[in-house]
Amino acid sequence: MFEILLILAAGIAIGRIGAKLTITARIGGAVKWTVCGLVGVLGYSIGADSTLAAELPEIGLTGIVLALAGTAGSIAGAMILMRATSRKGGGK
Amino acid sequence: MKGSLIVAGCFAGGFIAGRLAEYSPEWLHTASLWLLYLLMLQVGLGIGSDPKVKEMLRTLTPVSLLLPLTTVAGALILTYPVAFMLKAVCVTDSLAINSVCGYYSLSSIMLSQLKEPLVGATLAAKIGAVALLANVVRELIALTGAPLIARHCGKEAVIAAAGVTSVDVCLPAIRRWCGERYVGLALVHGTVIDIASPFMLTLFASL
Repeated sequence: MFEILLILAAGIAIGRIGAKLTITARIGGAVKWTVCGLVGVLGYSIGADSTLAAELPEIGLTGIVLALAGTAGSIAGAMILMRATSRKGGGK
Repeated sequence: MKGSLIVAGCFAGGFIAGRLAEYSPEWLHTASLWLLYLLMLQVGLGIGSDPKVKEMLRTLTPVSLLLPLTTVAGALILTYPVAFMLKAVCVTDSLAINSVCGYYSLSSIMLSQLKEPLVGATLAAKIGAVALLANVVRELIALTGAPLIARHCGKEAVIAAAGVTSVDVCLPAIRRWCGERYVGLALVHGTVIDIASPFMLTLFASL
């Protein structure tokens, strides 16, 4: 698990040092292809497992519920923050 | 938006290929682990070489730092009670999924890889799929709901709803419905969550 964070940290360090190098930008810019490959593998893993494939409606509904909860919570957090900071600003 | 459709298409393509093959070779899991390492390196390179990050650090204000914090905290606080009602994923996995606030690619891939040694390949793939769908739907809500959210909840709420995508996919919508002066805040907000996401995923996945 921690090797992932180490690789991330190494990437940030290399990115900072090699910020002006074209190859750094090219490797970093190819991230969308890596993402496509990995997401495709994820889709394949689910499709190849008939039990999981049958659970796709439940997976979809769970995803929607979590999305609504997360988004609503973030919106509420922002509204509370802005109310608190504007109240503090108005008292000066 | 085009990027989200491409990712959805890759998932669908992989799914169909899997359904047709009905077989998952062992080397596929090893290959996906190495692809994940490559992804983390690329994400790190992107963060480290981004010239905007240094500029953003210089223009930070208390609100620009607090907004990503409340975005993530709000998402987690509301996810916690809802997660007890879900059967497909456990509470800590639900928190992991929503801690990244829309980072669908990283959350799905990282979670499925991190959870595999703990829960097995099948359940890990399921968690990854939930993470992908949840965060794609979040992005769609932020994009399509931006005018309503701006009118009824405030302009900062539009940025919060976008989560990590306030820096890219949702930025045009933020510019349109909030105004040009919110662009800087959106960039800082998305970048902070972008940087924090791998750490939050690792934390919640290990609980």
